[in-house]
Formats: sequence, structure tokens, C-alpha cells
Amino acid sequence: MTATLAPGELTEREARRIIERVLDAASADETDVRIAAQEGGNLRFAANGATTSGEIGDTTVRIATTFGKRTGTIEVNEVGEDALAAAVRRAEEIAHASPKDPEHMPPLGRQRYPDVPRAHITATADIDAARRARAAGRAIDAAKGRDVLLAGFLQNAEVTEAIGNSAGNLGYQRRTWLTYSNTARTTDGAGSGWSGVYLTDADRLNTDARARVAIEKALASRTTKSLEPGVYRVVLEPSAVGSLVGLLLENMDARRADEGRSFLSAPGGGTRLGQRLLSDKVTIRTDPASPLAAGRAWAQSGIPAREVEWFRGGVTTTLNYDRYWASQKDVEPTPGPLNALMEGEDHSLEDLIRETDRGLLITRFWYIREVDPQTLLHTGLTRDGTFWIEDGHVSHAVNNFRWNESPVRALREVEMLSRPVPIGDVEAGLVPMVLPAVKAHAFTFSSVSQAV
Amino acid sequence: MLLGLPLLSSGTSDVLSRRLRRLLEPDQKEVADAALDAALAAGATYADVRISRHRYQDLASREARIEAITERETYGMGVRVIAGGAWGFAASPTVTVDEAARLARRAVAVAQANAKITRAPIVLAPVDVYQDSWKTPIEKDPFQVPLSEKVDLLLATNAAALKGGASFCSSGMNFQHHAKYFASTEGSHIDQELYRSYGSFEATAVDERSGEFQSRRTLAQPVGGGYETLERWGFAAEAERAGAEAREKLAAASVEPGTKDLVLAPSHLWLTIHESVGHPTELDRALGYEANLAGTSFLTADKLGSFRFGSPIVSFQADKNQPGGLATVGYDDEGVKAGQWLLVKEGVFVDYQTTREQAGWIADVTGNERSHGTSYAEHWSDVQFQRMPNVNLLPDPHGGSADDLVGGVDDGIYMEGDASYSIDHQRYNFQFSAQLAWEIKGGKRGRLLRDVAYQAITPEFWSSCDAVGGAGTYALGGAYYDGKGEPVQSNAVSHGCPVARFRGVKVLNTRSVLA
Repeated sequence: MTATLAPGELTEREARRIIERVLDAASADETDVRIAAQEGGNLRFAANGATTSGEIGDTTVRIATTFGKRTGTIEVNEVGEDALAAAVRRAEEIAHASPKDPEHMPPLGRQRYPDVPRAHITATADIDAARRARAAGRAIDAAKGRDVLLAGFLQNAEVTEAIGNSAGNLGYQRRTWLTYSNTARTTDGAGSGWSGVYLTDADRLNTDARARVAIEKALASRTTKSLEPGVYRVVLEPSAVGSLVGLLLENMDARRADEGRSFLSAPGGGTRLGQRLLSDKVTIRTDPASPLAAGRAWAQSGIPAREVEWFRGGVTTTLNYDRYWASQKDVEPTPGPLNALMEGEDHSLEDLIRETDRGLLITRFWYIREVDPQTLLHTGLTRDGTFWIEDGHVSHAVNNFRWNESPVRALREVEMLSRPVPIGDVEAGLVPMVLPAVKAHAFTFSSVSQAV
Repeated sequence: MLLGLPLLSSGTSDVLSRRLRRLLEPDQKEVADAALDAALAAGATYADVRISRHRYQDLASREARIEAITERETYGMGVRVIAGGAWGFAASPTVTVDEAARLARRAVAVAQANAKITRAPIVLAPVDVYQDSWKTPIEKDPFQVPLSEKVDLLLATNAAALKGGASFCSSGMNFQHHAKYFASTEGSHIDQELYRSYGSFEATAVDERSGEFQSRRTLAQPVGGGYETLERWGFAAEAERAGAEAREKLAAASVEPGTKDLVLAPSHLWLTIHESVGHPTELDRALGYEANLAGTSFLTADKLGSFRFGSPIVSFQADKNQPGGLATVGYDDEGVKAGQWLLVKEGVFVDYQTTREQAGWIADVTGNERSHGTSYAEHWSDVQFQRMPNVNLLPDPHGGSADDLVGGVDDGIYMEGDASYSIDHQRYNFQFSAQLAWEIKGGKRGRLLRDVAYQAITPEFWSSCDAVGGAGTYALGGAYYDGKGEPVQSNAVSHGCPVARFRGVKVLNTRSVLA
């Protein structure tokens, strides 16, 4: 039989025991151990009824061993003593077969990992199949009699992670997350609306309220007027803003900037650190202490999560340094964007619309891909609710668009911000994000999409 | 217990350990039968079990340095049931008779909870019963090839790119081995082993003075096959050429936007086929089952059998038997034997991709009550659902060469390699760019262009296809990590095609697109 560990059994004591077992079995100069356990369930629904669902648990152990500067890594989901010993041996075989890595960094010594507040909510961990079905049922009930078909997805998980190494580092964190989204489409296929959220706390879920948002958008977008592609003023709802912020944060790597192959590279050498690239209204940071965006206590590299300010008043204030590049540049390494917080202003989304003479209201973006890394030009589409604003009011729905735009250019054109809210959109990536709606002066739409 | 045997190792010890491990692991049939019996006893009307071990080996390098060599292995089982007319699923890494029975009962409980919000009971298409095994044909098991050979190939590739003129080069290899056992209450017991191999690199040239940089990725494609496919590609030779081409792109002419004719090589066209033909012919999309994320399809069921999808020279075939195909299997993940069928015949949309649940939904139009066998799950921990088979553009029996197609173009572009790709959520409006875009003037391929992308609407694009190359130009491309579903699962799928020509396509300049 295989010796496995149910995720719920990964207590701090058990995690230490596994780490010690790996370290005892290791003969390498350095050994690093990561344990990740996840237990949870999901439910999909479509056309106003349940489709597939499941309940899954798994525990993985990742072992990296190093002799001198030669490293080998293995990940397994069998955690019995013999299986772990075999995994250690295989990692060491790989290490012996690997060339020396001149950039190898020694293991981190004992770190102080932050206690991330509200990262674990028992009510979220305890959601079972019956509760998922009831939550979806409330959303489906909201769709009944409204001439729409609702599709959606609810997933909750409890995640336990532990980290340890031969230099004495140890960390343990338990957290929960929940993602919910739903899309309403009118039965004639003419209108579509969406709403979604990523939370740690199931008590904030409210599937029926989120269904109603999607349903109202679908009904309001059933009759559209044609609008030609062009450059328009936009009010971007927070989910759409999340896509742009995600693109920026994915591209903050300091080494690529120093090597001249990033939008953050400066002509003639050097980087754009310290330059104002965005509107002075734009401040974006990472902060593990944010109660609405609780996430990991450490980065993939093992560096403790901490507050990092990426842009302040539109000025690039930090680049993302891994441990090696930081050592070369004599700066502190960064834990990366473990969550994303963008400052807002004391306005509502409705205020932004009210202050817009003519422009487009965008619910969300779809299928965003990089076109030109030099300018960070990306292409993507609008979907699930695109509306024309006239004289401070939403006037009517319009067709969807393909756009070609750079998040740098779009966020340089910011005119007004709302109060930030948590978002949950796969297109923005699934790190916790708390973002405002944005009113921006110009956004480039390059062709019409017939898609609804 | 493994009794201290190596879990994974190179060479003969790996073969030995796997054979011994199979002996020491519980009998798969015994475990599966425990799950099936428990599911039926708990009230299920159907159940299937998948027990699988998935192995991955990934190498990453840049310039003269190996960045990481990582192996991953995951083992477990998933039990899927129908109870109360609804689906339920539960999965666990513990593969024992007791756990199988527990999972089955849990899956039934999930199904019964869902039954309260299910619109109509699940009905499965009939399927034949099989006791069989299948394995991807390979010459060299990539997991048996010494790491030193792979390291040498990667470092030689990077060195060649730098020699060609690149400032940087990153390269990698990714190998997969999936050992899958399937059993169902229909009576089937099927063992399969799938191998997939992928080698890649990206060369980048930087002009520090201007701050400009350009990249050129490999034209090599992932395949369902062994290490021999990487050995035959000639990575070092291509990398040297790619380094020079990345440098050349820095000084290349920026494309003049407008309406142009395109000749698209298979290394580029496969991805256009994937997005504009593969995904819209998925029946679950067309009926709204993926509406919340992946989207729906402009190919609604009322268009089946009559919609003009493309020009009469365009036929697309789904093929789960294709040699080298990433989605090639003996059986799908609900025990349906792999086959071939046409999706678009001489330009007309004639069929969808279906699973056992879906086949009956369109049987009155297609006359086919059987599944096409497109059920797939990434891992034991994922529930299976409809995934894309290999979808191929059939060559023209009388078709010519790439030069023949270029010869018929006065003002156009010849494109190789996939780059940026995006399509809307109903698969109408797409935009693609390439690794290499060559100007065509007066029927001749000329200088390299940069900043090129094209936009089109799917049926207009395929209707503008006026020439499809012959079998001699046919090649396989593929997606190693194609996402779909919630939670998102990755599928691997190939697309074979000849070179093809398209008239009057909108071409953008990606540097001047921002006004």
C-alpha cells in the first residue's frame, strides 16, 4: 500500500516530523523541504442545474538537495518513511547528475514568518457538499423566472503549508480560500453578465446577491447598439482593473530589467526604477497584513511575506529581486506580489459613472495575451457586460471589443478611482487582490467582437 | 510499503523499481471492484474508477547554466458516480480497498447533494466493454535517458543561439508519463501508458543603445512520443539560426498595416486551428456548460450539418489515433475506444466532440448515439469531462508546396511559429502573431518583417482559405498545457496541418496600434 497523509492530519507537529525524517535521510550538504496539503471541494453548475463536482485531498512533499552547487529536486505525494527516503535518494541522484550552478544560493537560516491575520477561517474549511449545493441553489433560484440561464463555480479549500531546511529554517501556515463566480446568459443568447469573488471567509459569500448582479447585467445587455472600435474613455470595474494590475506585477522582475529585456529597461542601460510611469493616482503594494487579502506567509523562495510598495504616486518604487540577483545588486530580495492592493479614492463606482460625459463601462476582460514585451502591449477582449455611458448615466449596452493596450499606458491615463474591494477573476490571477474601479482617459479598442 | 527501494531512478534500476512497485502495490482490479461495489451498494446507478500514477521530469536552463532539474510524481485514485441522476466525484492519494469503498460512498453523498439542484438526470450513451491495454509507441523512454545527455543538449542549444547572435537564450525539456487504470460498472478494465515529450528554447537579442529587444522561440513542437523526437529535431542548428534571426528582427522593417494575403506554415497554423476550430466544436461549450469561464461557441447546435464554416477545400478531422498526437490514446477516460471523425467536411460544420453524457443530446441530428470518446482528466484527482482530441486540417491530395502557395501571392506575409494568441469567448474574433513573418512580394518570399499580428473572424477567415498544401507539407503542432474547466485542468493536444493560404486578412502593426 502507499503511505499517504490526509491533509487534515498535517499538524505542525506532523509537519516537523516529516521535515526531520527527510533531513535525517539526507546526505547532501543542504536539504530543503516543502510540504503542501490541500483539502476541499467544488461544484459547477450550468443551465440552472448542477453539473460536475468533487471532493479532493492530497499532500505533497518537495525535496531539494544540494551537494556543493549541484541541486536536484523531487516532489512526491507518498509520505511513508520508505517513500520519503527513496525520494531523498532520487533528489540526490539528480543533484549528482546536475552541473554546478554558479548562481546557487545557500539555504535560508531561521526566518520570522508573519502571522497572517484571518488567513484561516474555520467556516470556510468546513463547507461540505450539501452546503455548496445549497449556496449554488440560492443562485439558481435567483435566476428562475428571469429568462436567464446561470452557470457558475464554487470551490473552497483548506491549505496547510510547511517549510524547513538543513540550515534550521521552519515555517508552518494554515489558511483557507474560497472562489465563487457566476455568469448569467439570457435564454436567447443576446445578453451576458458576470460576477465573481475570491475570499478567505465564507460568511461573505452571498451567492444570491452575486447572481443578481450577473442577471441584471445580462438583462441590461440583451439589446445592444453597435459601436465602432476606437480610443474611448473607460470606467473599468475592479475585475477589469485586476487584469491590468496583474500584468504589471507579473513583469516587475529586476534581472530582466537590468538585462535590457523588460518594459522597465531604460534605453542606454539601467532601469526605470524611480521613474514615474503611471498616473500619480496609482499606488500599488503587497501587504500580508491586509484583512481582505490574506495570503501566504512566505514566498516560493522561502522569503517571509512583507509589505512591498511597487508603485507610489505612479513612480516605480521597487523591482522584484530574487535572492541571487539581489545579492549581485546588493539589495534586499523581495517576496514578490503575494497579494495586490491598489489605493483608491472616496468614491463609488456610480460616482465614476456620474463624472463621465461619454465613455465605456467595462465589466471584465478575457483572453489577455502579451503582444510586445517592450511596451507591455497586450491584447484581450471585453465580455459579460459592456455599456455606453452618456452624460453621467449608463445609456445602453454595446458590442464587445478586442483591445490592444498596455497596462502602463492605461494606468497613466487614470482620472478617478473608487473605494477598493476584493475581486476574484481568473483573468487577473488568483492571488488575493483588493482594487478600486478606475476611470481612465483613453483605452484602445481595435476591432468589434460579435461574441456575447 | 516500498521496502527502501528507489522510488524513481535512471536506467535499469527504474525499470526494476517500477516492476517491484507494481507487485507491492494493491491489485488495481481489487481496489477498483471495491469502489464499484460500494458505489452500487450506496445507491449509485453508474460508477467508474481511475487509478493513476503521473510522472514529470522538467529541466530548465539559461546560457551556460542549468537552472533546475525537477521530477514530480503523484499517485492516487478518483471515483465518479451517478446517483439520483447527478454526478458525484471523490479522490484520494490513498489507494487501498478500504479507501476505495470510502471514496465511493463519499462520491455518492456528493451526487445526492447535487441531485437537489440538477435539472435532468444524467443519461450515458452505450459503450462496448473492453479488457485491454494500450501504450504510446516510443523508441526511447525519456525517463531512461541519462540526465547528462539532456543537460548537454540544452547547453549546446543555448551556446548555439549565442553564437548566432542572441544576447540570451533559455531552454527546457518537459517529459510526462501517465500510467492510467480505468474500470467501470459497465465491466471494462483498461490499462494505459501515455508518454509525452517537449523540448523548447527562446533566444533574445538586445540592442542596449536603443533599448530594443527581440526574441525568437523554437519551431519545435511537443509530441506524444519518446526522447527520440527531441534527438531528431536538431535544436542546436535551429538555435544558431534563431539567434541570428532574433538579431535580424531588431533591424527588420516594421510591417505596413493593411489587408494582406497570408501563407501560414504548420508551425504557426496549428494554434489558429486549436483556437478557432478545436474549441468551438466542443459540445459542452456550445450548450453553455463552460459559459462561466471558457465561454460558449458561435457553432450552436442549430448550425449542425448546414453552417458554412469555411471554403470547400477545408476539412477538419478529429483523430484520437494520430501517430505522435498528444491527445492520442487507446481509450478515453470513460472507456470509449479512440477513433476518428469529421468535424468540418468540405467547409460545412458536420459534428461536435462528445462524451458519453453528451452524445444523446445531438443524436437526433447526427444519427449517432455513441460517444466520440473525448472524455479526459488531467490527474486522478480531477473529474473527467469533455476535452479536445487531435483536430487536424486535412491536406489537399493535389496540393502544392509552401513555395507554390507563396507563388500565388502578390502582396502578403509568410508566417512561421506561434507567438501571441487570443480569441473571444464565443470563438469569433481572434488575433495571432508569429515567431517569423516574411514579406511576400510578387510571388517571392523576401525580407523579415517585425511588429506583425493579424485579426480575423473565424468563419470569414476559413472561407478566405483558397489553397491548402499537399501531404508533403503536413506537420504536427501542439499545445502541451491547454486549460479548460473549473477547477482548470490541463490537456495536451496536437493539430496536424499542411501549409495554407488565406486571402485579404487584416494585418496590424503592433507598435503603431496605440494611437
